[in-house]
This record gives sequence, structure tokens and C-alpha cells, in this order.
Amino acid sequence: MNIIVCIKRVADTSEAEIVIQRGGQGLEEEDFAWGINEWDNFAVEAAVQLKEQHGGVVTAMTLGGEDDEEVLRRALAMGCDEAVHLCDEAFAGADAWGIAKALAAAVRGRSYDLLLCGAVSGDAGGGQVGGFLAGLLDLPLVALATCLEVGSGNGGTGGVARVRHEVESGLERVVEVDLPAVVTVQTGINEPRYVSIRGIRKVAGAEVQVLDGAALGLQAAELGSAGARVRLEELFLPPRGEGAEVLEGSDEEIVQRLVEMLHQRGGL
Amino acid sequence: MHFELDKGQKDIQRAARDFAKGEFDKELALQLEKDHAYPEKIWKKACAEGFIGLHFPDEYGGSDYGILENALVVEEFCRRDSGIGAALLTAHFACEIILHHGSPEQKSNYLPRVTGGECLSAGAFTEPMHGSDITSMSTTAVRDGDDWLINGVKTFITNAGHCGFYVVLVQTDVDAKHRGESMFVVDADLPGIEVASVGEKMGLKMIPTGEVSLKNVRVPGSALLGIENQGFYQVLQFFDESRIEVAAQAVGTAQGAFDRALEYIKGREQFGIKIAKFQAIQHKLAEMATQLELARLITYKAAWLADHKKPDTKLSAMAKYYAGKVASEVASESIQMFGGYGYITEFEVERFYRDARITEIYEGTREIQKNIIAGQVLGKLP
Amino acid sequence: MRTIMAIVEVVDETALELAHAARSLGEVHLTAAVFGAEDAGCAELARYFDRVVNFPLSPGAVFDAEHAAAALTPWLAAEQPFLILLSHTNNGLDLAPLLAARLDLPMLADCLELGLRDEQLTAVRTLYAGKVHARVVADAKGGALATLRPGAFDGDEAIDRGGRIETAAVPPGPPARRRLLETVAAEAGSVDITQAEILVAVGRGIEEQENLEIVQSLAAALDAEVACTRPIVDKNWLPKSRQVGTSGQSVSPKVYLAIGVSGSFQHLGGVKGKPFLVAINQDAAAPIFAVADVGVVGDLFDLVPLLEEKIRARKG
Repeated sequence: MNIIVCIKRVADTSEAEIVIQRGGQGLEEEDFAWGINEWDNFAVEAAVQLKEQHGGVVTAMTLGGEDDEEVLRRALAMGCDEAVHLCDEAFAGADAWGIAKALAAAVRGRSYDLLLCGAVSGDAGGGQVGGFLAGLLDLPLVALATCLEVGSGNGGTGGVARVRHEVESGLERVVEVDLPAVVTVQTGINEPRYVSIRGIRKVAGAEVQVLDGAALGLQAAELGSAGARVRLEELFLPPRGEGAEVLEGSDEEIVQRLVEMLHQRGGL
Repeated sequence: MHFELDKGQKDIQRAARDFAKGEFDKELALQLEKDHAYPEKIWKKACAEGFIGLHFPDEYGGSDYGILENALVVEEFCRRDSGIGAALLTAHFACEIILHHGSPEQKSNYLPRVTGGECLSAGAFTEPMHGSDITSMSTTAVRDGDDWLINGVKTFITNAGHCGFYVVLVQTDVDAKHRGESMFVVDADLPGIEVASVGEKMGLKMIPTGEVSLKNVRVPGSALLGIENQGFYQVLQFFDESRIEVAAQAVGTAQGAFDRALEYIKGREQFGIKIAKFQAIQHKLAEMATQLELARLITYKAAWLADHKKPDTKLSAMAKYYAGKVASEVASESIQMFGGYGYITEFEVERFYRDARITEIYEGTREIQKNIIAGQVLGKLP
Repeated sequence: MRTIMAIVEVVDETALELAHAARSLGEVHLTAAVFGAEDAGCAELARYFDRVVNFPLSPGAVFDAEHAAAALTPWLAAEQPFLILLSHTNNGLDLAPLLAARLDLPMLADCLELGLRDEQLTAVRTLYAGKVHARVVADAKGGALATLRPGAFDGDEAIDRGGRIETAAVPPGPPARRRLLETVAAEAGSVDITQAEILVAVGRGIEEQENLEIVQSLAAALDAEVACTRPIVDKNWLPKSRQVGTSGQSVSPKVYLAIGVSGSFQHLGGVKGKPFLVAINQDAAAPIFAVADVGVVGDLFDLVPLLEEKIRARKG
């Protein structure tokens, strides 16, 4: 069971103040805590668990700048066997399509049964890369997996996976999919392990393979902002619209007011 | 010369940060503190993930890392929570003495139990009449056949009553003062050991601290730790290392208080403006940030020297003295920035302050550190 | 006239939203591609769309993204519409990017607004779970595909367009690489939050499982049911049957009290029928405050017990 898991380093803005740079092309990043995309962390755990059950090799792959190597090292410490870093200044400004094209180029020629991605990313959040990969590599896709089991399968020579995934109205479906396949992983599919000190120790000397655009056989026009199909015009803070009537005062006053409102407008 | 952690060290820093973020919870910390309860579950998990004793060799359940890596973990843990952080960093207290001076049997008997989360360890050095002065001990060990009989009282003992064993400093040659001190590893469940409370503490409320009295505690000859009558020197060597860990505790505690104050002043408005815009606040913030940076630098340097086989007594003392001072000052100023809220337990900074104060007291008060630094600077006076 | 194709999973409000968004782009010829719709469904769509193309499903089959992608790819390649629209639902996530890649089209995902500027398609979409909005643009000269966030667009007005209804001929393709084994509901809980009049919803802000108690206690005082966001279910703190959102239950209570809920669209997508929405959250920038009727920025650990106390006092 060889698995490639595609991951991304993203900013966690949950505790940060959002300040848009002048010109609206980027955010002030000083306050950001960076780390692996939450969905991708579940994908790495899913890959490592499958390897622990069935053997094989798990390769973690990311596209990004030098700092982004940290998520690969993290994936190795969690139990991935190999890491591939698609790193080239020309990748800057890539959209989901560009990321998927570069990943697809790196994946082609490797032997794998499963290609795992996080279902969406915490930053752009379009949920496209997995589906693009399936399209580019002509593989079947299962999006939003909440349970993943595999039968046989050894390096792209067949086998099937049973995947439970989310559809509409709170329903889930169980499908059987031929391998190799692309599966995008939803949060909650497992309980991702911590990166342990022993894990870090084990991979202290591990090599991360670095591939640039030329190594992937991609032309300059296909890379980064040059190859982006979706371009950013402007970032802005969401209009507050009508928004909530925000209650002010001491806790005591606020709660008193709230009880009144629940009574009058909520019909309590 | 370069001032950057290497990739592996950054990995460790991030792993510790993730673990602390995932496991340390504010409400839980407040409750544990109130209940004077040890963070048992978190400690077991920290052991399972390899955080406790990561600077011990592989064969004893460590990961062969150095003092700097341990300091990074301690810093991250204390930054997230000064109380839980302190409880975890003291889980392996005094084990370094076994590591450096223990027999192979002692090492393989005791160290894996600590790294594996089976038990806590404790160091019993301080005595009621001596405090930070360890140049002579009232507690004695006297030969009785192949065994030793230990008698005396040790006080302010971290993990007393909750540990698997004590590393005890005793007088084996009563006439030789510090040249007659030795160390023993004493199992905590031996007959004759009794633990009493030292009273309510200002901080470190999750950690049990007690008075340990030893009455005719019989230990075998194999319990002697290191060389007979070399105990004093063994302790001094240990302190050179452990003070770096306390310095890291201080840096983390200071940073944690600073983080909270920073977040608060960015959000808090007074007289219609964010208080972060007041110059008085900004200047205070600048001082705190600078102090923190210096404390961290000297701590890392002391750790780096120790890891490169150049342990420096003076620098370890400086690191502990300075980082401890910074922790107390930064935590205190953080309370000030919070104003009235800073005085309320909910807002955490008062706890960081109370936990910071110990770093100027234990493992040698700041006055002792100054004595050491002055002694090293002056050399032998004629 | 530009042709726009809307891929319709089920005949419901989202189909009307696709129609409305398409019509807002100017004079267009609008086709709905639908899967296994009954006559009534096709007739309903024909009131909003100029053309309805029904892709038959074998008996007992349901909409399936793998099947839909296989059927739609050659059809869309032949039709060459100016724009393809889908809803950004779970099925949309399963189908849209696959389709875009196979058709080699630019894709704008999860759009809140859609516009046309010369040959360029513009959109507003969210970043960082709604904390930032982005205006983006794609060159649509050779066609484009966009997914629209459910609920972000108005539904189209009912003008009877008298759309032509046809049945697509789906040529038999290679055997499906993905096969449906079963459809499963979220594990049944003892409660049905979809019927509750008052819901107290709890999110990540609650921090620890033990802290759920204060929320449960408040719900008891209000005679309400406890609902929750996805992360709470992910952590196994509450059963899936209490999850509100696009991957959980759709609810339509009279009062929705959101406690420590940031307000992701995936969660809010399950809150229907415009309840009186009260949000308590520490983060003043949480997107929930943009949609709530009443907001309280503060510490829920103080506010929730106090609220319970006042409510109990009022009840006597």
C-alpha cells in the first residue's frame, strides 16, 4: 500500500488580528501562527495508519517556499517515509490549478495506490486540489472521506478501497473505489497523533527531495502567478452588513438585556 | 557564529508547542491549581511522546538530545502554562545526577521509570537549618555492615510523597564538611520515610512540596550514588545543568505572561483608544520584550556551552539569576498592564507571577547566584 | 446569447439560486442539467430554465459525482457553454473540480458574488473561514466553471420560462471505477434537533469536553436542545446527530443561541428559516456576528452560567 499524501502549510488566523496590506494583495502576517493545514493533518494520520496496517511507503508532498519544509518534516516525524518538496521561486502566486498541475507532474511516474489530500485548506478553502488531481491524473475521486479502509493493492496494480464520505443532508455514503484513487479527507476521520520527540529523532537525518519547475518538466508560463487561471484582484474585510446588535455593558447588564430580548423577540 | 536554532531544534519547539496547545487547558489548569492536583494525565502523555527526559540516552528512554533541546521544551510548556509546565519539568528532577554518576544498574533501574511515566523523581538536598547553603549536612548516612542507615530531615522537597525515589544528599564523614558529603538513591517506599507538608505555597500549586524525614532508613551499599564523599561536587555539577532548566522555565513563564498582556493591550480600550497606543504602555512593552530577548539568549548560550562539553558555572548562574529576575518583573508588569483584571485568577497573569517567583528562589536563591557569579569573576582573592 | 449550464443535483432552492446567479450576468440562455428527475421535477425546473436536460439514472440509483462526471464531460465538451454553474455543496466538492480538470476550464470555487466584465468572470469568495474576502477574476474566453455557496444568492423569481425538457442519451461508458455500496444516516441519537424550537449550539469556543456542562445546563433552563458544530463531533464530545451544518442536520428553530461558534458557512448552512440568532463569542471578528441578530462579545464561561441563572430566576 503505497500512499502519497499532499499537504500544505497554512496560517492559523484564529487568534490573529486580520490586517490587509496596502494595495489589498496580501495580509500582514506577523501575528500568524503557521502550521500544517488542519485537514491535511488528518490525511497524514490516515496515510500512516494505513501503512501501519498494510505496510508500504507513505510519501508526503508539498508545494511551497523554503519555510514550508517544516510540514514535511512534521509528516516524516508522524511516520511518513519520504518527503518531496516542490520548491521554486516561480511557483509563487500559484492558484489551486497551478498547485494541482505541479503535484500531478511530481506524482506521475511514482508507484502509488492512494493519493490523499485534505478536503479543503484553512486559507483559500476552495476544496479543489484533490479533484483537480483526479482529473489531471484520470483517477476516480472520493471527496470528504470520513472513513477509509483498503483491501489489497500494491503499488498501483489494482485493489479497492472502501470509503465512507459525506454527501448532502447529513447523509454519508459508502463507496467502493478502484485503486489507484484520489481521496480527500475530512476532519474527524481519525485522531491525529502528536509529533513525538522520538518521531523527530528518528527523522533527524531524513532527506527531503526538492524538485523545481524544470525537474517537473513544467514551462515558466505554467508556473505560479504566470500560470494562474484565477487571479486575485483585491482582498478586503467582509462587510459587516447589518450584522448583530452588539450588547455592551457589564456582564450583568448584558445578560439582563439578553433575557429580555429572548423573551420579546424569541418568544420565550 | 550564528544565532538560529537548527531544523531539528525548531521541530522540537513546534512539537512541544503543539502538545502544550492540545493538552494544556486554561480551565483545567485553574482547577488543578485550586485542587493542588498534579497534572497526572498530561504528564503520562508527555512521557509517552518522549518529552520527559529527552536529553537522556536512548537506552534509558530518552532521545539523546541535549540540554538546549530540553530547555526549548521547558520554555514552550511554561509559556503555555506556567503551572503545568513547572510540574512537567520537575518530573525528572535530580535524574541527571544518576545519569552522570550512577552505576549502570542505577541508571537502568531508575531512569526508564521516569522517562516511561512510571514515577516522578525527587532531589532531597535542602535542610531546615541550611537552605541554599549545602556546605554541610545534618542528615547522615552511617555504615551498618554492607548497608547504610540514613537519618535526618530534608525540606522544600519537590515531588515529596509523590515520587518513586529520592536522590538524597547526606553527610558520610561528619568531620569533613562538604568534603564528607555523599549521595544516595533512596526508594520512596522504604520504611522510616515520612512526608509532611511544608504549608501552603505562593505558586507551583500543582506540585507537591514537602518535608521528608528519614529515620533509620536502611539502604544497601548499591544505593550510594557516585563516589563516597564526592556528593557536594556532584550536586554542584548538577546545579550547573539544572539552573539552565530553571532559566528556561523562567523564560517560558515570562513569555507566557507577556503574550497574554500583549493580547490584552491590543484589544483593551481606555478613554476611547486602544491602550496599546499609549506611549507609557509601549515603552514598558519595549523594555519587557528586550529583557525577554536577553534572558533567552543567555539561557540558550548556557545550554549550548553545556552541550558542547564546556559547562560554565558562571554562565549557568547568570542565566538563572537574570531569567528569574526577568520572569518576576515581566509577569509583574503584565499584571499591571491588565489593571484590575490582572489581579483576578481567571486572567492567568497573577498565576504566572506567582509561578515566576520560585525561579528566583529554588535551586539557589538569586543571592546565591550572585555569590557564584562574583566568585567566578573575582577568582581567588589573596 | 451566452449559454450557461447549471448542474442540478436535486430540485430545490439551490437550483433557483443557480438560476438567479446566471440571470444576473445579463441576457443568457440557461440550461439545467439534472439527474434522474421525475416529470414534476423537470416541469418545476422548466419554469426557471430555458432548457432542462434530464440525465436518466438506472432504477434505484441516486446522484453520484463519479457517474455525473462521466456523463457530463462529453456532453459539456460538445455543448461548449460559456459558463457552468454548480452549488458548492458536498456533492459539488465531489464533482466540480473533477469536471473543471477534465474539461480543462478555469474554476472559481465557493463564490458569494458573481459578475461579468468583458470576457472575464469575477467573483467574491472567502479566505480564512470568512475572516477575509477576496475579489478574484478568471479569464472566461474559453469557458469557465463556478461553484456558488448555497444561500449566498437569492432564489430566482418564478417566471414561467416554459423551458424545453429533454432526456439526455448517455452512451454506455467503461464500468464505473467507484460504486455505491450504501447510504447511511448519521447515527441515530435519542434526540431530533430538527424539531426543536430552541437550540443552544456550542462550538470550538467551549475548549474542553467538561465545559459542555454549562451549555447543557443552560439548554435545560431554556427547555432547549443542545446542538453543535463539526469540531465538537470530530472530538467525539457530542454525537453526530446533534451536528448542525452542511454535513450535519438542517434545523429551523425559532431561537438559535450560538455559544463559542465562529460561524463558518458550513455550520450556518444548516440553520434555516431565519431564527432569532444570538451569538456569544470571545472573538469580536468572528463571522457569526455578521449574521446574528444579537451579539455578545465576551467570556462565555462567565456569561453562560449567568444567563442560566437569570433565566431560571425569571421562570421562578
